Amino acid sequence: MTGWDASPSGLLVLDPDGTVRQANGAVRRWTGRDDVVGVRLPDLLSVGGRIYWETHLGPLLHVERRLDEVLVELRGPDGRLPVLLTAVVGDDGAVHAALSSARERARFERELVAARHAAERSEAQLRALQGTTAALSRALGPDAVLDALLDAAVGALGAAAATAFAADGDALSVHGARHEDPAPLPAGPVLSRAPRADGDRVLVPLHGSAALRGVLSVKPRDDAGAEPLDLDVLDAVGAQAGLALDRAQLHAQTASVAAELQHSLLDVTPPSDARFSVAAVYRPGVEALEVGGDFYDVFLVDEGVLAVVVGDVVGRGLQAASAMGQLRSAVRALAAPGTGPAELLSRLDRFVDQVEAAGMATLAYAELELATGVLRYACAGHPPPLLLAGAAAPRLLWEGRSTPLGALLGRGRRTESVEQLPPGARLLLCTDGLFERRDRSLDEGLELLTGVAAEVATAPLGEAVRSLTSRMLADERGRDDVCVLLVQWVGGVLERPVRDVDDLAVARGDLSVWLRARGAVPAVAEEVVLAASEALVNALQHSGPGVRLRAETTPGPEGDQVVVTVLDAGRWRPAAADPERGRGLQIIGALVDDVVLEAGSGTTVVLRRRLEERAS
Amino acid sequence: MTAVADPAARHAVTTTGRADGAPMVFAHGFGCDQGMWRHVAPRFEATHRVVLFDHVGAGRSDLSAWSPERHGRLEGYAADVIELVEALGLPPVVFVGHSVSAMIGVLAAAERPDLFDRLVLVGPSPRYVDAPGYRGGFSQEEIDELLETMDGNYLGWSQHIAPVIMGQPDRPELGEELSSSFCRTDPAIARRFARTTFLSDNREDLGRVRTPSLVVQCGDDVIAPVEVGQYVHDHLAGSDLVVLDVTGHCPNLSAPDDLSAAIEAWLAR
Repeated sequence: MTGWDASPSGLLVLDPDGTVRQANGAVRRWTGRDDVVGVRLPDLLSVGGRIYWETHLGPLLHVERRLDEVLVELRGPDGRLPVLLTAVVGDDGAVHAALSSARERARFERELVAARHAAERSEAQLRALQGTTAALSRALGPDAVLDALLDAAVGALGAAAATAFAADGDALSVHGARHEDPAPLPAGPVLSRAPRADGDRVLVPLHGSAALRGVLSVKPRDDAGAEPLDLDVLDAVGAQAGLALDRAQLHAQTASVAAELQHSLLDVTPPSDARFSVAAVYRPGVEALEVGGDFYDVFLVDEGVLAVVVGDVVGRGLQAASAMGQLRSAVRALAAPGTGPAELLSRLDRFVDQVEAAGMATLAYAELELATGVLRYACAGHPPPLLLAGAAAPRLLWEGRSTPLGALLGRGRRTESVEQLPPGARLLLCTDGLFERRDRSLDEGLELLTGVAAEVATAPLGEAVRSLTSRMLADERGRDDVCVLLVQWVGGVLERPVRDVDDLAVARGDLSVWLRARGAVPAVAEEVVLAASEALVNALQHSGPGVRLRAETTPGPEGDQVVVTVLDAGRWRPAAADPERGRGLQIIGALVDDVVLEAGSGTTVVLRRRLEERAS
Repeated sequence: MTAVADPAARHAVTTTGRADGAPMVFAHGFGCDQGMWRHVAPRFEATHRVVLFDHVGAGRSDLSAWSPERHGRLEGYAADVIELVEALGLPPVVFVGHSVSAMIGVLAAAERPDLFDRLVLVGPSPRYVDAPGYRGGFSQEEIDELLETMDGNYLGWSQHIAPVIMGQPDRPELGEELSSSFCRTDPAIARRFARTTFLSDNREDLGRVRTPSLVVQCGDDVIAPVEVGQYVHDHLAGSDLVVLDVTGHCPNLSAPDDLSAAIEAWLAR
């Protein structure tokens, strides 16, 4: 045996095109054939090795003129034999190749590769799972969960198309599809826990903890280069989606119960009375998809006292809605004649001590004496009421402030304050969502609110509160609940002294507001004010101090009429003796339906005018 | 699909030859890069404008442009070619495609005949796996074995090669640039490209082509046997067939004279 044949390595001499010219004993042994001369080297290799040779090694050898330690497999009598191939191209163009057995190295390399594959696969699985799980957990309702699942199926999970079915008991219905028309319903019941093949598709059951929540049907990609679907990942995603659907369904139920509860609690029918008007706006926040704890209420404490309240319970959801309901009932139950706002807040402190969820709620509470316009109010950590009185600038009522409910228990006193409202005055109560924004201070928010309120102050009550709310919320995208309450004291009787000509202008303003609050159209109000003004001027000229203005409404034969009385301590002379005064009475007579001049210890002029406009 | 600002950069385009010559675009096959045309392309520089490029994932192409969806089908590679030819603003080109690029050229010409003057298909195969009434040269099992071997030889098929070649101190004649780029492909992409190449079936697409074409077949080619070249010629309307007396799948390296002569003769007709 020559050294050539005795070599432990396989030795070959090849033609430039790879045809074996010479081969030693090791080559013949490994390949199990004696006829290797004349055969091309790639034909001695496995299919993979052959293609590798034709597409990579051959070109490399041609260009680089050598190959070093490339792993290929020989086709042997006992299967494939891994060998390391080293080859150089000699000056004569012949290729000198050496093969050394690489069983050990190949095994080692296979293990390395297997480990690397396993690591890559589990990393890819983990990435797909994590992405999908995150998307599922962000979804807020069952529909959103199935949408997220569909997106993940044709995204991270690599399906060509997917259809999702929602389960209701045993019945499945199509939820939606991606990259295809919805697939037909799976034939037969979906009983398995694991994904299973269904024709050319894969069905992934979405099991919740108690029941089947849905089914995902995925279509694998049929592109030549596509990776097969990973059933392990689909299995895990199916389980995650089932639980996400459980959670979403529970959440949706809770949310809808809370929304219903809140709706019923806020379904306030305010008491109706000619002495006041109320308008409210409640705008639920949509961002959180959960009800908040804002509320308002309007009720009569007794025949002569109107209570208005706006509050804000901490938190969101069912618990906040239920706490809000309890607190609102507590306000009604605890408010009683003679109690007053400060005492009411003290009692509410004791109440929230028992009802933990209502603790730290804030509240603005006011009682209005309907006969006099006296307003008593108190704020427990709540934004101050805003007073809109006649022509005066809107004013925040900063008195009567104390801490949120429950914060003060046993350690301080509740305070209240009093304000005299002029007839027609309006009072605005709201929750902080109306003006509070992340990007501005509370003071700036309140300043803005005051400015907008001034601009809408003279609009009819309902329009005013709606327009104010929409303008204040123009820059806000439904982040928070907002509750706005606007109450107007009409004032049963307007009665005030008119001291001098300067005071006359204010009195005219008060009368005008009072008339408008009673429903007089502008033209009527203007004429009545003009008539009353004429009478007041006369009275001031002839009696000096002691002039009084009184206005009230009474039912008349043709609808409500307004009765304006101007009293003074002096004596009007007959018209004939005082042409100027006579003209005054004529002017008054033209403006109202009826004018009566009564002389006694002083003079009384009584003007009557229907509230509705006269037919001309 | 990602919008690509510059397909020429994406494909590491090299342009040589006569600026006013008729354009010839050379496309490499599975496994290597534009270096495969080193012995053929220069022969056309005197008469043609010669454009060489790398498919996405090969050579010096922009690897970030590779996408599993787009490049999971040969149509994605054909779309790359169409974008490239359009971006270069060339008159209708002579497209010379080797191996899998022959079919990529067929798909591109079927889609946009206006961009292609002629096709030269070197070692084409519309389907590598045998099918009833069709012999592609490989059984399904063999292709599975190939893909398995490729998966198993992950290191050997890819980055293993280049470092070993580069690390040869006894070969100072070997430029580092050459060794570091020739036949170097991203291993993950090469693996997917192998699936796309060997599992595609584009036989139906042959009938969509009206571009005059030349099928160049090697007499002894284990990757694309003679029957396959004949099949392509039979199904490609108005095509010519040349069989070179050459062994192997890469006449552009092993028989550049024969290949160039065949192309020149056909173009001159």
